Amino acid sequence: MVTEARNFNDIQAGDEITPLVKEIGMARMMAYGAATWDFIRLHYDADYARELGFEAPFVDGQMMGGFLTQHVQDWAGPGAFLRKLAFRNRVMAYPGDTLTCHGLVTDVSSTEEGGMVECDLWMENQRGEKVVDPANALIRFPLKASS
Amino acid sequence: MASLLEKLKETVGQEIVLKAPDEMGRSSLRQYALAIGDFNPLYSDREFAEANGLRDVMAPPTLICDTWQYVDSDMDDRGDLLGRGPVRELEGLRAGNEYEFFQPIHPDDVITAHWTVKDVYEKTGRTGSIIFQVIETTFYNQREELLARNTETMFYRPEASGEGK
Repeated sequence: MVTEARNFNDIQAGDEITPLVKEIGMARMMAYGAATWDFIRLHYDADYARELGFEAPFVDGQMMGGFLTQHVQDWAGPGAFLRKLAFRNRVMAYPGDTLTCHGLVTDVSSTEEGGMVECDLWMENQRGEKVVDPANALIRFPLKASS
Repeated sequence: MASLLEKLKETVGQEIVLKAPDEMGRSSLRQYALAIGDFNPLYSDREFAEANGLRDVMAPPTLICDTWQYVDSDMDDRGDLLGRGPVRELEGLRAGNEYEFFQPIHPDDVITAHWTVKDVYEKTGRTGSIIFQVIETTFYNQREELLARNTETMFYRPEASGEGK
């Protein structure tokens, strides 16, 4: 659950980041445009998107960053702070797609800044195509958390 | 007439500074969380945020990197905010992003964004030539504290005309 803290000392390389499934619909795409003050019609106006040669309105590539953040923050718990997130968009996502975020811990280290956890992430659609790949995140945990 | 590559090369070093007319605000945090479908109480419940060491609710981290909330202007028929200035002329598709977050962003933060084109280069692969453009946006608050950095890579296909995003 989102609200439970994860203890840094329990994390090891190879751990799986709990997968997160996101259903993509036009309402959510429209809401994302509004929430980011990005009113570009390509992301919600089907006629307009087709006029420009796209098969349908497509998901704003940066929305994947929002999904990946939810993916790692849910796993890491509320005491952890996302320090870095990088990702490559490979295949466009459209309304009706089901996207699943996956991840694996690749490195764990204690530093002056805190307990640092690196992970590799990727996102697949319902056809098994990699929508986002590669991606990676760096998460900082409090070192004293032991409860 | 200048080629697309020449035209894009001219954008290298271009810098725009945009300052928000007002604070981030609580509802903008909730609206972004709703759009993602991410109901983490860190973004909406002050008591929960304080219990986790924050002074107030925090923004979903990627909000600052994708919002144009700090642009104070009307928009055109495409839905493009006029106040984005020269940024409006860029019509690339997104190749990827690298975000770095330095501290949590709170509702009372007033954002200033420093937008600059860092690099433009061409690569030739199986599908022909692709031009990449690297844009870095750095975000500060009213105390000039560094909040976040977004390095995004856009791409253009020289043979394709028309618009994109």
